[in-house]
Amino acid sequence: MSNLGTRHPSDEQLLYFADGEMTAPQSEDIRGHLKACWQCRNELEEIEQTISECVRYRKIVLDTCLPPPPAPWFDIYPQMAKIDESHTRRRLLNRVREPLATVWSNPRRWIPAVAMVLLIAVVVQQFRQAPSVQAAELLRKAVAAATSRPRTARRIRIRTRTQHLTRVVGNAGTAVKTKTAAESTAALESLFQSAHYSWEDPLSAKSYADWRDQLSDKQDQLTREADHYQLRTTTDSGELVEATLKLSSLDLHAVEGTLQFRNREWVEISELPDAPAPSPEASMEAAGAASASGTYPSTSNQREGPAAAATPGEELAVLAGLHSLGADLGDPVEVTRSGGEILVTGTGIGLERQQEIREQLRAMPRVTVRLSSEPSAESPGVEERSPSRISVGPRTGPLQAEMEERLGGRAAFEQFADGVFDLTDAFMSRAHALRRLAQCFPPDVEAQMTSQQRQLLERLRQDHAEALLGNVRDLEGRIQSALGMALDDARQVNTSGQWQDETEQLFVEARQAETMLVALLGASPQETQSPELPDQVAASVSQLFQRAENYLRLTAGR
Amino acid sequence: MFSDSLLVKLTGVLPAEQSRVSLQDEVAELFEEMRDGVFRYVLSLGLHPPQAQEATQEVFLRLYTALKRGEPIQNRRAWVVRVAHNLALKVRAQQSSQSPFEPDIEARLASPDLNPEQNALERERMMRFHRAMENLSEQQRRCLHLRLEGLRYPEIASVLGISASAVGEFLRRAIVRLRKAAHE
Repeated sequence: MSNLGTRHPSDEQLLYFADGEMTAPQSEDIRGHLKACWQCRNELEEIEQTISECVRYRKIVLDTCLPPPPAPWFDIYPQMAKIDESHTRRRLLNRVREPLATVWSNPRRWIPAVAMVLLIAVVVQQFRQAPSVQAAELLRKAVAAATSRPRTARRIRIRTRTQHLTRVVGNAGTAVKTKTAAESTAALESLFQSAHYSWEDPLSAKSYADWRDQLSDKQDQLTREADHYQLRTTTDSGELVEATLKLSSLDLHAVEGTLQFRNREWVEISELPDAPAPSPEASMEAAGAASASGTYPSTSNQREGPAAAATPGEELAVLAGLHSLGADLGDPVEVTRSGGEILVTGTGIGLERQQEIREQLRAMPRVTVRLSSEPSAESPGVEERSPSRISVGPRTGPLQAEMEERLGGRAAFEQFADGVFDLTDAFMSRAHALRRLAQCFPPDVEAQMTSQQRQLLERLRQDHAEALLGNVRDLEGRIQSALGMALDDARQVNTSGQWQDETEQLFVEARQAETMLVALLGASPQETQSPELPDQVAASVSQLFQRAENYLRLTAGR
Repeated sequence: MFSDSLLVKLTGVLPAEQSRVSLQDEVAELFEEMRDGVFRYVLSLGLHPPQAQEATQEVFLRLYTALKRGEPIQNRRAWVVRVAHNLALKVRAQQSSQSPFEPDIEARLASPDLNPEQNALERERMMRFHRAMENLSEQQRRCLHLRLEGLRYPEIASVLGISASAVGEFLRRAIVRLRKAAHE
């Protein structure tokens, strides 16, 4: 964002800006750029028009076409009064007396009933303390535990809306940024400072406790899961309105945290493993086999202890498992490494697909799969669209009319548009999958991986890159026939050597090509009218093809 | 500050009673404001209208119960949508033998009786936009629905169990797709 004076903001940045999801300095940068740039003002206007159209759609279509509630809405006041009454009536004594009276007549049920009452008493005792007291006590213990441990450097990952950093904290505090963190961390650091939250060690019980202690008003919520405590503090004072901290229940060390600032900026922090654990090599062999055969052998005999952090190798094995199902493409499934486990989450996934994913990952240690039950969504990993349903509308610009004529009529043009949308989706899915690999396995993480793990990572990249190249090649052919022009294949692209950097470049160029193609098909009347658009599309697709070829060469040649 | 007895004299109700009434008013007001949106959202998750209405009403009673218990709820709107989402999925899972509700919006949209004041061009325009909406991925559509209900990115992320950055990406891709339909 810092060099917006010379660079146009991406459509993603413009959307964040339009949606008020940027920090004040970032918004100011964009606003400054917009004052000077007609093109971006026009882009923003179109985004806002689309948002207005969504609102109109909601008002006109959803409000009128969806069925109304079948009955009048209930009067909520009597219902709330009933809740009040039942709260008053359900006193503890009454709740205990009734089951006791029932079991009294049957002595054989006394023992379990009494045991149950005792158990309830223990649980009630455990939770009798106010959450704030529990939170303070837990933090005190966690700080004491951290102090008693030798102070060693550890790596953490920080994600914000626009940045993705890996930092080393707890020692010299040197920061290592991935290529995607193109912007300076100065703004983030100053945000932490203004919130009185330690930037030096943002993932620690002490930093959390220091911030929490200086709050004039706060509310705590403490939950306990199988292997961790989750602490959540909300406040109305200060720049930071909500923070959460996940502490390992084994040794109370902080493994994950989130921060939500008043200006709507958010930060996710998670711990990265210190060094590769001994087991991933074997785990990778399993993953490699899975990638080839589509099934996983059991790896339970190679599990690490429950307290050890999940490793990049294990994360890679999960990604390889998903890849063998094609579930690492498209949108629904997310993989995150958090403390001692790999979390695989997703919603909107058909039951059958869920079953496949669970089955594939079943034998993998320390993998938690959280897929939501959604019977109506039978979507596979890649988005499915019915090609015939893409409509290019009755009014088209001169460019579309020209393409219609060249392709042999409106129906052919619609078919062409459908095909381009499908290919665009397909190559963007690949670009996203590659970007995910680059973000999960930055150079410093990759350097710690075994040769087998690196080979597996390379195979995954190669798969995606080959498919992406195939999509772009197909696209080139279609564009050539629609535009009636040969694409320039002599364009040279610079390569930087690091595949992670190359991936980001590939992603940026894929997105540029996507934007241009959508414009070519009539997304923006102004752009459609531009006589340079076909040349720009041709150049963009050609550049992407060259980039993908180089990328594949770089991947295969390593 | 007034003493409790003075408050009773002035208002005729005890402070606790006053706070209860005020909480009921707040929930009732939110119910009035949000119920149609929540109803539409749970319909979009496949609930049939009677279940959708029941679930919608249930959500606001849960909100009242939670507030009465003193649970800290910073953003009530987001809370309502999150609980409605989870409840709808639960109801659907329990009734998986029944096919999900799928309204025939196209047929209704095409009917000139529905909105006689709308001209044919406008109907055609909305039909195109609707088809573009239908062509979005499930996640893109959900993010968009939730954004339309006024939820911010982190709130949508918490409803759908994904990261806020993923929400941004889904919305971006949805907007790219919809721009085409919007500008025709």
